[in-house]
Amino acid sequence: MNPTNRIVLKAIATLLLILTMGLLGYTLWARGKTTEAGMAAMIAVTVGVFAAFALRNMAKSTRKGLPLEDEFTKRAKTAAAAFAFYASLYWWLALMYFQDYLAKHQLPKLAILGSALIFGLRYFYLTRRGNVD
Amino acid sequence: MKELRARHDLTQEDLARKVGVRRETILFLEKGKYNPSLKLAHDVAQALETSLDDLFIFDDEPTEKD
Repeated sequence: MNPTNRIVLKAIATLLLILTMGLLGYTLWARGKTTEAGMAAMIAVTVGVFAAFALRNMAKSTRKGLPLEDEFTKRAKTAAAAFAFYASLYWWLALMYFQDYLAKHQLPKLAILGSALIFGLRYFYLTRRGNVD
Repeated sequence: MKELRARHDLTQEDLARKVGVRRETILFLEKGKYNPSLKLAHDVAQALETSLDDLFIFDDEPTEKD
């Protein structure tokens, strides 16, 4: 796929995610669930800030004629995914242990968010450190 | 690798463009942090007009058995 199209697609996907979280936040706020609405807003802002930096870097690379992805980033992604899978098992176990203290509808959200966060942080760490083996 | 790149008057970005990778990949290669695939090692050696043997040194980490 053309790098410019790829950036545009990623921008649209990010925008949709932010809009969804914004809409969810607004609905929760309208129902009086201010804490959860705040959490949704926080996620939307965090995703927005990170995406803005990432998309700017991607645009810069494309302008310079450099690829957005190469063998290093692909290996980092695979390593981060493998790590996230194993770490998520412990995260889900912890959630199972604390399930009596959490509302049932919160469990899937926490599980997905936790796994995504583990993957994102590990990928960020690996791409900064350079050693993906 | 850094030395050869400098001899060819190339920046990390130039070399990255030549071999089709990101600049960070060249940076980690120069620092010895990243083990490249044989194809990437070959491409870098070709871009710097040298051989694989001259550019990369195989350094097998000692294991407990050793």
